[in-house]
Amino acid sequence: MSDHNDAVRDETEPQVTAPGTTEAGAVFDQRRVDRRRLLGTAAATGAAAAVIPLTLVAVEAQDSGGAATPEATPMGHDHMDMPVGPPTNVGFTYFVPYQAAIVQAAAARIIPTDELGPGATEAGVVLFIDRQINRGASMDYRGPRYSMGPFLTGEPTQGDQSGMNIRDQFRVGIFALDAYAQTTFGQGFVACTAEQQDQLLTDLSEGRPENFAAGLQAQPISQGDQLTPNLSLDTTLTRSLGATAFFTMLRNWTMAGYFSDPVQGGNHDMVGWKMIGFPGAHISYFEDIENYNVPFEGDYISLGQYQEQMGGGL
Amino acid sequence: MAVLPKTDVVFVGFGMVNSIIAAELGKHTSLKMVGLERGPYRDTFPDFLQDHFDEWRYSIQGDLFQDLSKNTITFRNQREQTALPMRQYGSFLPGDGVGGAMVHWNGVSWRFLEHHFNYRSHHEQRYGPDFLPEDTTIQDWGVSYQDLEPYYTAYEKTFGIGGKAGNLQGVIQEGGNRFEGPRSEEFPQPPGKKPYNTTLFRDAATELGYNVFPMPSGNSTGTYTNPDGQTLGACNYCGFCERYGCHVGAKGSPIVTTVPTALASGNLEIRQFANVFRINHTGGQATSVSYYDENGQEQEQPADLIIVGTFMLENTRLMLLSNIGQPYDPVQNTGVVGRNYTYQLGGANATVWYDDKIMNRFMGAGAAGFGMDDFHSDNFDHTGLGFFGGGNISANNTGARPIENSGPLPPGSPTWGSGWKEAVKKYYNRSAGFSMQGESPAYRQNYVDLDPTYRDAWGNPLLRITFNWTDNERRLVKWVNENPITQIANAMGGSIVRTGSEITDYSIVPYQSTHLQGGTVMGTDPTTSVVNTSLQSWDVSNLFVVGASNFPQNPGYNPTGTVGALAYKAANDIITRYLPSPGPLA
Repeated sequence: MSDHNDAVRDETEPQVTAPGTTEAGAVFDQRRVDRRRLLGTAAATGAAAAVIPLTLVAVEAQDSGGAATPEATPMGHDHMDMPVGPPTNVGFTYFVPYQAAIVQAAAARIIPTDELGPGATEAGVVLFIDRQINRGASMDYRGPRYSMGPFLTGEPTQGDQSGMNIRDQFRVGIFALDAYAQTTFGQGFVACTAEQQDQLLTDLSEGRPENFAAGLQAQPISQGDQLTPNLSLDTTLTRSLGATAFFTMLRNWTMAGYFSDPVQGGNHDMVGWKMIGFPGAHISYFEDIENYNVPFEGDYISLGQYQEQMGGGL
Repeated sequence: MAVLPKTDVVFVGFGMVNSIIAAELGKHTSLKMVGLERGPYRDTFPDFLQDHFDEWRYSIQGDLFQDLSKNTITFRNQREQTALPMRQYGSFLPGDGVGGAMVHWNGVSWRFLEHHFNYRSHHEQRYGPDFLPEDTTIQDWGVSYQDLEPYYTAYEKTFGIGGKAGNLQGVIQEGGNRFEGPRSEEFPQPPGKKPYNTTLFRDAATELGYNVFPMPSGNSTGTYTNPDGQTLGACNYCGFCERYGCHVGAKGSPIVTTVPTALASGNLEIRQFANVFRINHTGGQATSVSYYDENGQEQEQPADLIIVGTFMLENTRLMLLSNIGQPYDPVQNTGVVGRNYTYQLGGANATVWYDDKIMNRFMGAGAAGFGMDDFHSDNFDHTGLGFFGGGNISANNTGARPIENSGPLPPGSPTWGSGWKEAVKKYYNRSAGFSMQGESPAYRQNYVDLDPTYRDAWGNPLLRITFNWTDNERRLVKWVNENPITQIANAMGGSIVRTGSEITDYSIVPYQSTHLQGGTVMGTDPTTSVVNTSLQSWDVSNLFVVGASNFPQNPGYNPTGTVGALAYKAANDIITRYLPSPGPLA
């Protein structure tokens, strides 16, 4: 674990944790440069808080050989440690950096990095979402989605009836959130302060704005210094996504990226589990379950580590 | 389309029901059998031993569930609405693959109470002929608890159920459920270990004078070898039970019991990825089943005897798609197929949070806990209460995988942001909950039929569910919350207590229960049932339809144990009565 205990994120710089080796540091610095080039537009408009997490992805860290010998983390250690591990993958499979930055910023407010420990940023939530929503057109939060029409508006008891798949819902919702930030605070969501972002997300969770992505029609992003697409409402379009629905979606996916097994691309270094004390993939609690009111002191074990123990090493 | 060589018996679906019947036929006959299963064959090794600890894959994305992109249901609360498809999972989670939903069940395994089987006549005798509301279509089963007792015993021995008898041959036993019907024998295995938070419920409710007993468990409480020679491992309380396969073969599941027994006969072939869509029949006899194979090609499998043993939904849909039996008409109150669809009543529950206790909630098993039946069905006097029915009240701790179980958090806790983090960090491991699993009575207006609009991936109509709660259930939930639930919760010694309140309309959105019943109800009268008490179709005598779809209404219990008993009864009646003399058994 890192000895880096400064858990409060610097709002003006990407979260940089102290890598364990100089080689890793070199890799990291190189990636920072790449990121700045990618986000040149954002930087130029003062949106430097557009932090795309670079310190992430346990799966790739394992691929690099860093986890060839699983090291479980005993519970009871300082849960506020920040994750370390050389980043070996910073690209996105579905999001473009503009979209990823907005999802990342929103996730970082839903599960902030604070004195209680790492948040969505350190867990790599945006990478989890990017990978998971890009596993096939029918894959939704709950797995394969019934995608045949007609698409009608029903009663709340009848559930989500959107004709959009999850990727399109993210695409439309991200644009709409950014447009709402522009309307409300005169700047994109990423450039807003944490307090402004909290206000915008609170609005969404309470159903504001009413016409959130109703009949949303997006114009091309201009090539100038304007970060946000021009948006207009076309009420003839039947596709829609309510503000509350988009917020709920963001929250659910953020929680999943924070708490799922690291093998799925989030919960880097099991930071989500360590925050609440969920020990992970334990083959047995037979000897422990009747130790009433005694805190469990066993290790944190990810599925990857469990599979190693099961002889699953390749 | 290919017509395949004829076989003696074809099974539609290869979950618990048909693996039981195949195992029995395999032991007692030399019939050639073909099992058609829409999903894959997954086993303890390698599938679950090496991968089962993955909440995202199994619990959230539902790797063991029916593939909704291919086949779902449509839903509406009442006939005046347009039913719309369930596009994502919520309310219930049907299984897919060899072993069916029992691969991912929690393992809570009840015998229904004696008066559950004569529910209508019991209430009319005790409270008068007008006590049950006019719109109920509640009816007696046509079999008694005593009729099913040997089959319950066979099922419990095969699946290694653990528990403590409350009534042995009519003698009430200390430590068991004194409301249960007489058992011929003690449980095959003793009760298992119990999570801390469930003991807080047990202690409080016992102190209040209620009859609290260990929940009967299909999580094998020790290493166990069943009468067929199949061995179950001992439950490790790993906390990944519901929605998961078992990594150590400790769940009483077909894949470690009846499936290997059936295959050992040497007379069974199981075909994976076979989606049956029609039973072909003529002149009151079924001739074959038609299915789409793994490549979407239509196949026809002729057989002498056809046994449908899928989940409730597909049992009923297949009868409707095959035009066997008269579809139910709620307006005229005629017909039978699709009638008496019932569910499981939730909403009566409580959570208690403690500042001075650590629960280790992540340790647990599907049936690790305690129950009480003091407020179940007619175990308590309903005079003057304004409702009938009740349910089993229980506390069990199935684990606390964090995507879905980081809560519950105390009322008023933020759902995101630093305030949420503070609450979840403090309370994740400090709660104890319990709930009533309530009865779902049958009503004239609640039923299933074929949807007029929406289709499955092969072009066949989806099943349409029309269902809502009535004022009876709303009053029941309110009363139970305000009385036993509040009383017990307040006695559990926590710092914060939350109890349930009232229910309104049934919703397809939140997960509630995978207990769906009715549609092909059993009985003694062909005008109010689809199958007779041998689970044989009234209309096609070489067709048996078995499952929770046979329940006329649902008590406040998990259905699995009774489905198992019905499967053993069907197997017995086929072997001892039908095969010697094929034809109608009633």
